[in-house]
Amino acid sequence: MREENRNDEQLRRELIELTGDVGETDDLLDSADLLDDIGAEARQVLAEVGRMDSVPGERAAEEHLRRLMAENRPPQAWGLAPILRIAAGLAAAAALVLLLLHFSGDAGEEGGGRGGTLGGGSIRLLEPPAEVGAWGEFRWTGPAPGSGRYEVVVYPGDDVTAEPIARALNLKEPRWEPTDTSLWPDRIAWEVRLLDVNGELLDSAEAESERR
Amino acid sequence: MSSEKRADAALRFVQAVLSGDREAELRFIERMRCVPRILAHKNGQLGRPLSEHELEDLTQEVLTALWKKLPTYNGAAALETWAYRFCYLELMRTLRGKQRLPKLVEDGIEGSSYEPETQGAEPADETERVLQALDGMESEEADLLRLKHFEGLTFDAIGERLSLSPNTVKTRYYRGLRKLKGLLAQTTRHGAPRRAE
Repeated sequence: MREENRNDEQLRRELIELTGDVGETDDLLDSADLLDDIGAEARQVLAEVGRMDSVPGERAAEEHLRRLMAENRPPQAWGLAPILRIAAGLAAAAALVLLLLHFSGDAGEEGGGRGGTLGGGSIRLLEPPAEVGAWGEFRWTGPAPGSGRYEVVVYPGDDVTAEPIARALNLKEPRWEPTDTSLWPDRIAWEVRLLDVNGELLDSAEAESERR
Repeated sequence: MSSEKRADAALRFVQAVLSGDREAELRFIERMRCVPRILAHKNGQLGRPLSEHELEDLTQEVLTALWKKLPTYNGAAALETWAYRFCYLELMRTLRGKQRLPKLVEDGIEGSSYEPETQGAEPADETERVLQALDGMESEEADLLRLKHFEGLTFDAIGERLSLSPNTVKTRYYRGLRKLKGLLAQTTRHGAPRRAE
């Protein structure tokens, strides 16, 4: 098991290409092997658990869970009265319509965005474009974050696995002006992320840009 | 069922549980039988450091934590795999609190025999360090690593599940692996990371 990833030549080649460093590649393969071991252990335990007869305390556990579910419904669990559920549904539908109108307006004004997206694809990256004269403001369009936030992460070159060279957190507006770009390379990759109030990723988009 | 559809189905199931769907609730209670069983199994592997009564208390603590966190379940991993992480971390936390962590053999916990831990010893369990490090990572990257290694999915299947191209999956996987390595190196230097809430 331990040697599995180390002996995976394709994985090894790809990692060497990515890191440019055989030593670091071996370290990463060690981490992959460690994950494999833990994953295999978890799968084995779950398979054995699936074949088990009941264990002492199982009935008490079920009772406890029933009580929890009856008495302590989590706040996000939509434990609302039916009328409130209907109201929430109508509000969500209205918000969706507004969102669609918002995007149709943006597309007309901005001429569309670019960049690969994750999730709903609701983020369009506008500035910087593929080529710029100097690094300036970052702009994009997307849903209003509400109680959530946007984050921008800038990576050197086109290597989004490298350590970021800049990061802006807790953005409420779809724009960000970096304070100092004097040490930035001529080529960057940048990513915009939309997170909800709990920090869960809702959507993201990535693009590359070059200063000429 | 495709990987993506399976993830959607898992998420819809949990949403049904949370919205009070009676049938989904009953099925959830049935599936969560895995919690007392996982804990009993791991306790047995470790040489039974916890008594039946202590195990029962721990089971209820884990179920309470799971129920509280259920709205954050994103369907990426199977519900039982998600529960396994809670069981493992809570078991280790409890054993540490009771100063009953077993001395671990180098290759893992299998085959180790239970011996009371010496006072104030640092947590030595590699699995615990990795699970905690994954909790400390951004959820997207951690999900990718879990899907690859815990669920045993290929890059193509992960891409299908997360609606990403296989190349994007690979790039993000490598990035996650790098971050995990960094976090593990930190915990080696500074002890166990803070437990995720």
